[in-house]
Amino acid sequence: MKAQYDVIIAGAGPAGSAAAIRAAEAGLSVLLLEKRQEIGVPVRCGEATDVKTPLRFMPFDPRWLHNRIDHFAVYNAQGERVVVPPSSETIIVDRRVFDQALANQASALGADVYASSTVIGLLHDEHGTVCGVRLKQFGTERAVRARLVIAADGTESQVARWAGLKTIPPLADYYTGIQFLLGNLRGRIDPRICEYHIGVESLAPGGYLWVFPKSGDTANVGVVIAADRARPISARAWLERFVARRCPGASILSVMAGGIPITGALKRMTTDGLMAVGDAAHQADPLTAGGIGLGMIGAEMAMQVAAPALQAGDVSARRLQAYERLWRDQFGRMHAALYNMRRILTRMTETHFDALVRTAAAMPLETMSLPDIVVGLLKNHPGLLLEARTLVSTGLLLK
Amino acid sequence: MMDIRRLDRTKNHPDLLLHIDKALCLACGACVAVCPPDALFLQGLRLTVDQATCTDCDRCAAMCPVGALSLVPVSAPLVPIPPSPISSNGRHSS
Repeated sequence: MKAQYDVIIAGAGPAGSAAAIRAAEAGLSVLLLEKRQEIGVPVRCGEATDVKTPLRFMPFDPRWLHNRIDHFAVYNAQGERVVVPPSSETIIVDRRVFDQALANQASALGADVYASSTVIGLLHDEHGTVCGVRLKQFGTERAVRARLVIAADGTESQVARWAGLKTIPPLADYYTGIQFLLGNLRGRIDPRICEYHIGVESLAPGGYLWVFPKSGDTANVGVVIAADRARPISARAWLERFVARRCPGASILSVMAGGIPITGALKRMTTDGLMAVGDAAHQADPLTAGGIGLGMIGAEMAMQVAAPALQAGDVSARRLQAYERLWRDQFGRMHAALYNMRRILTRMTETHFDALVRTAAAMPLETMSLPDIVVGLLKNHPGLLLEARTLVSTGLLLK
Repeated sequence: MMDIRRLDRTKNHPDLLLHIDKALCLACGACVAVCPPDALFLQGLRLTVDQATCTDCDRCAAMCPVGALSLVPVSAPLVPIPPSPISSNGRHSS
């Protein structure tokens, strides 16, 4: 480890490694730090992602591909379902192998990569600009200087918080979740179909359950619920109920849990000498909470602005804010629409949602455009009109 | 050593303390992310709370995926709180 780098990145998840890759490609010296003992572990994720985004950062490797998904099925609490193809090619990855492959790609491009290395504080220069980190590695503390620090340390990001960026949204804008890796599912899952189960009263208050098959007989089965509705019944209790009904007798091979903000990206993702990317910047999709691809794209946008800024010797917030504009231009409207969609789903009664799924199930969705689908649903559920207006105004539908 | 609760006016519930049920806790860190005063710490698989910084706001308890966090009544008589960060485990006979 050198005493000074152009860029220090805290967190070697997909966003952190993506930032490291783009920074190294731009010819910058890069230090990528991961506090955990092993990059990618523990897995805290449903492991579903579009396939195109990761492939822009590293070559395909069958070792991180678990499964390819043909369709998504959305179930209501009655077990009726709507089946739709994914909007882009979707895969289930092995996050342990995937995250390590990404970090290794950064390393191959020249980045210094270290696990078991925790950022414990930020260095500031006399103007208050972030100019490095204090870190702890194998029990030893040291200071390393950098011209730019990237906070990629996930939902519980402390680096972004130390830099004064992190806002803590209301609990209604958090999912709390838990996931089991289930085994012994042969014959009870379709390995080509990702299932979503929605029932705001009887299945998962303010959230949803998922079954993401990793193979013919294993799947990530999990739940997220709105954190303001997480008592008295915990996310774990909702998941246990679901598993007992959906796949009784399945074995629990692994348990993972976590929380995730679903606000859409932070308004402020930069400060003097620092940028936040990925979950640290709340870049996950505010409806599904999926964030692998979005975090990587966020990291790429950050470096797209940072590389020339470093070249010009200007890492002021004013200069780095171009990154926030890039993000807003590409994802601002979409995130606002998804956020509103979640609010609508959360407010809808379960009976209403059940009926909606029933109507949609009778429509030839594969041959229909999104506006056609919406019109078809509105014919049968005029009450939706009011809610649809919110979506139109945020630009998701019927532009 | 003195009782911090008597000095700290930021407490929402001076009669309550955050309790971590270590048997349930998965050390996932969901609570750490929502703690406004940064009073929760995850070191490896060990979650600890700094009772002196904790404001008993209850957000972490709402956030916990497994129901491992709760505010419990301070058992009378009040006991001195050791220096932080500390574990609340075993200190309450609720």
